[in-house]
Amino acid sequence: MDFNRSFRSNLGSAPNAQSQQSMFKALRRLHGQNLESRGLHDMTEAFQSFVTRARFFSIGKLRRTWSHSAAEFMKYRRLLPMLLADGEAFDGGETDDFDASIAFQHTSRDDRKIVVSNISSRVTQSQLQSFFSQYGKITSCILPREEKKTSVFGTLPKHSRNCGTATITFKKAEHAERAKNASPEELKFYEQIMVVSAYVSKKRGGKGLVLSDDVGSREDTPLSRASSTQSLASGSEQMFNLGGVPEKVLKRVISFLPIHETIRLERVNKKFMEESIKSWELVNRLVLARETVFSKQRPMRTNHLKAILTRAGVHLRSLDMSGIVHLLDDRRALKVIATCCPNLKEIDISGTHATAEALEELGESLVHLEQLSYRGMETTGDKAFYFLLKNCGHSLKFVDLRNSKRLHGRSFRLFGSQLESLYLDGSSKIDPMAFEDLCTSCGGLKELRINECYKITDENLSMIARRMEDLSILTLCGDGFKSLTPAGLIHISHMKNITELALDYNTLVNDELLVSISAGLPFLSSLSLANAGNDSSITAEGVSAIKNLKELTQLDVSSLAAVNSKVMQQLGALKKLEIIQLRNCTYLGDEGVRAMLQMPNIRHVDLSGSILVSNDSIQEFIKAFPSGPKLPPITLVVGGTAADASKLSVRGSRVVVDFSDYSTIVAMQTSQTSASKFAIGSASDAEDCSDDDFEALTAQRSFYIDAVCGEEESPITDDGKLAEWAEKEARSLGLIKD
Amino acid sequence: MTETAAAERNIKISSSDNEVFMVPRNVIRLSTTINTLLQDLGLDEDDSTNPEPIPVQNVTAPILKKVIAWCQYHYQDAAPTDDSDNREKRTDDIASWDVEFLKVDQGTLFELILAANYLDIKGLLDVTCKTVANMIKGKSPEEIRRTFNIKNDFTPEEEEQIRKENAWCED
Repeated sequence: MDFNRSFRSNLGSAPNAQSQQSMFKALRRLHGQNLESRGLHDMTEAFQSFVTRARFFSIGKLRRTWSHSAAEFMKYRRLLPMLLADGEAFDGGETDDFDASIAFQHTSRDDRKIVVSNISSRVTQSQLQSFFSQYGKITSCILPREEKKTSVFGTLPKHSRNCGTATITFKKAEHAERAKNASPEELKFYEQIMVVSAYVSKKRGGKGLVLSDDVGSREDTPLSRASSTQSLASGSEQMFNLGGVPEKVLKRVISFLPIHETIRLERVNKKFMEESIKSWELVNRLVLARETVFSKQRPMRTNHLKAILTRAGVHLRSLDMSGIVHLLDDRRALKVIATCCPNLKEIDISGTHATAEALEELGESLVHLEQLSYRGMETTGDKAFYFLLKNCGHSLKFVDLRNSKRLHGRSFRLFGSQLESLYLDGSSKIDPMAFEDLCTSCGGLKELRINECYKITDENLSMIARRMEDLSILTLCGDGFKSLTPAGLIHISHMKNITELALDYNTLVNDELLVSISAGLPFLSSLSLANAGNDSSITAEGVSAIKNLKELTQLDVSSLAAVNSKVMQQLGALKKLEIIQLRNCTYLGDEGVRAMLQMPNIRHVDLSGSILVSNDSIQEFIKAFPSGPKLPPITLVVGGTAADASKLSVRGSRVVVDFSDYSTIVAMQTSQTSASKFAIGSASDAEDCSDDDFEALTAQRSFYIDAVCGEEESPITDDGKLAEWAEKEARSLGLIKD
Repeated sequence: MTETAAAERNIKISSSDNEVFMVPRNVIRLSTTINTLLQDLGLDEDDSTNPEPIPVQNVTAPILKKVIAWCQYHYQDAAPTDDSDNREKRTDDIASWDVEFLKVDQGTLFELILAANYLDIKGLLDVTCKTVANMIKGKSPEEIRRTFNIKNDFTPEEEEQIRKENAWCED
């Protein structure tokens, strides 16, 4: 018996031999019982009666067998559907509820799942979930986000883009069926028609691409499956004549396949081999993180990179190596890139550690390089950056060096006037001298993101204001600017061409700054002040001054105590405003929400956590925007307000109400670590653990409550210890408040 | 003759089975083959409606109708980017209209691809190729040979050698 053997091997390492002995006995009993009950055919019954027996005879010992019997049970569970599906449809009443529900889940799990693609990048997971809940109760909704390592302040757009494909599991298969049969019109969300297709897991013979760890981003159109099943079923005259297509077409078809499949096709026949190799001509951008062949189980190695780049290299304009799981020999890997890809214009080598020499060699060979990303290189020293930029720095247009903790910035003098965008968020060691170098060498800079670059001084800001005349985007978020003063910050108001400004969590923001910005920056279209200043430095006077920024389309004044209804009424003058974030504005009342009815272009209002807002104004808001052809939908986030979902009517309105509360998540993160304290800036973080995870949390909570109260099935025997452990777990999950 | 009038002028094209279709000039512009033909023959300047339809020999009427339908939906799209632009290995970006449009039997899909290739309509060729790529995706070389009835012209030794070299690409 192999489980006996595996069990014995466990025995050896166990500290408490006596209780192991009894566990062994219990398992023997299970095995004996199994034989008695004519083997696996009656396994459910056998298992059940085992449980009954165990309850009677060895309740104390059962606890210790928990993990093993559970593992055994998992093994048998897989057989259950097979046994039960024998002939007639499965009837849950045949077995007891526990077994039935698991068996049922197993047989129909895939039927209850759907894959949704072509999702608008603006849709969040919770929005998607509430959208699809019109077809039935949803048990899980996974909408993976594009892997982008942002700093805690969303340097990139506030909503990190989702990858456009989601997996949704309904509670019942017929709900999934209903969603699958929905008409394209019904599936229109944010002006994009989503595509719903059946989920086919690889286990069940699905031909689709299956990812190693998340099924969410599997690419699978309904068409592909429909056609491939058809091709098997239909006669040969109907079949797609792949062998007969012109070579040019075959080449193009192959060019769309994932890397490993492209290479694998080389052995179909000679024609395929030729076209497979030629197909690389048509590919000039590779994003390796999207390739599913590399995973935690199978990391990318240097020979893989070499195999890919010897084929694709010469044609590539853009190579993105960030976010892959790799075991590259970094020096050789960079050398491969340097020799194989002479025409690269964009490269992202984040996550590839290398010596200064290797980086220098890379920089030297990439003569056409315009965009360079080398993010999150926390252990890479200043010298390595210098050598990387030594030969290519002067021609770069876009550089992303975020979260490089050891970057001081000696390399910045290597940049030239070509440089337009520079992302330095979280690279906190960058010193004043580096900023001076930037001002002298890159006068053409248009976008400068320096959140958490805490060493910047007043003089630096003044110099930036004078030297970088074209600067249009500036972010200066964070609460640790030690060398800056409120007076120094005023220099921002001299940067005439600024269109986007973010000062989240910047404690130095005060009324004076807001007034002078409002007067001095006529083109400002996006302003973010979440959690800036403090309750005394920013008052109603300062926030009201924002009304003078007539071009403003995006405004974030979350968590500012000064935002109240009166202030909002003044801000009603911002006719161009499209997106407004009012999270945690605890003094904002209904009158303030009504003020937003005057904003004709509004698209997104986030009121989460603004506790004074009630149903009255929300209903008015919903009514004020009737739906109509070509009118875009408006998102209204009302989680954490006094709004009552059951009393709101959204019929005939283009307002989509989102009941998520993004503000509480922020509060939770604030209490965790100082690093993630500024999470509001990157809405992605907050949204990732929004109410979709709530159900999971609830489940976990009930598990822990069971653990505390029931104390059954727990590997810890000592009751005191158990309670202690459970409490600790619960506390760390934020389920128990002190 | 003004620019807009030229763009709205109808062009006659005839299918292989001699059915004639009237297509606005700026719709048929998507077909590089016909577009070049019109320009080269100087038919754009000719303001009398061209009497003779342009023959499209390899395409039957039902397929040509479908191709024209595709063009009519897409003619206002942004001009197709040239080949030097970012072309990626992905098939999940087929527009939903196109997904619906391409829900056809495999024979039709095959004909559509040939037509798109012959008429050189880049957008249509791309979506059809992506659709076919989705059909191939996940299949091993053996399955592909079997499914599409393709002959293996490698010797077993040759194939084994290729397989060995690319072993990491096999599942």
